[in-house]
Amino acid sequence: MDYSQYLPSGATSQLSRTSLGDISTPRGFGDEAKKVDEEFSNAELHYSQPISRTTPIQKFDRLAATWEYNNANMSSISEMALLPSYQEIIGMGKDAIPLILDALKNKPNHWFWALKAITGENPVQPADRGNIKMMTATWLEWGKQNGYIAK
Amino acid sequence: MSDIENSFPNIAQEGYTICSPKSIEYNCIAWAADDNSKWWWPDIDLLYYWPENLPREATLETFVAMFSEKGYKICDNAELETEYEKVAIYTNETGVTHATKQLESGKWTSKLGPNHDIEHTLIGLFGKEYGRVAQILKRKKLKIS
Repeated sequence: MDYSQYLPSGATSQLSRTSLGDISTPRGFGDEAKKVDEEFSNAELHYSQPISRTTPIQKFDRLAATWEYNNANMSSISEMALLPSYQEIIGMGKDAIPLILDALKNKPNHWFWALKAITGENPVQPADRGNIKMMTATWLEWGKQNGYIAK
Repeated sequence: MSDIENSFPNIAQEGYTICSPKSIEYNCIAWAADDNSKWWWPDIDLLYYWPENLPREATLETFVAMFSEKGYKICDNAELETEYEKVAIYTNETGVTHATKQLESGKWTSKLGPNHDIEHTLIGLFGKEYGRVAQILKRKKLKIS
């Protein structure tokens, strides 16, 4: 069959001489198919965008990593807690509680300020202030008592 | 370049030695106050350890008062004096940032927040993060019989 009528003028002779075979054959890409292809590409791109597809866990992990990087040499709890990444975690509200408790369980860190800010509670006894192991254990127990951690 | 060298622009040239693994069990203030079991800080939320009778504010006066309770007196130099032990308090525009204590070698030992213990010079930690030394204090060494 002669498909040259479907090709741009002047293209026929060049395409027919190519060593790749007969690529002058129409592939069925009409306007509708092109539209579907574009939409599919956009959907793929949208799916891979972190901002629109970030889960609370991913968001917490990203913010926690940034916070740890920025507080690497800090002793001041106030300075640590006022870092934007830490404040953003507090801004996640109650969604952040199980994530913080899980982080505490895996790797104790200074999450106490955030837990107090979100929950309004401080279960740590005065005698245990500054004792990171005891503070961690107390908050994990609080998590169990309040249904955030399975008993 | 290590993360320590990234944070303290003078430290590579001044020289330093890492002396411990990283730990969040204690901080520089605890370390300078001879305690490696707690994180010391005068936070107003009452989360961290701070001597009960002292105000909870991160001012130089408060930290001088804390070390004074441990027998330190204000001192005007950082030179090694064999009969004395010394601590230095750093401040920047936010207030107190760090404390360090002098070793018998004349060098200084610091816990860098949740990071390592290191040996260093005072100038080694100067910079944006800790600022500069604002006060030196000293006390007579305890005699061990």
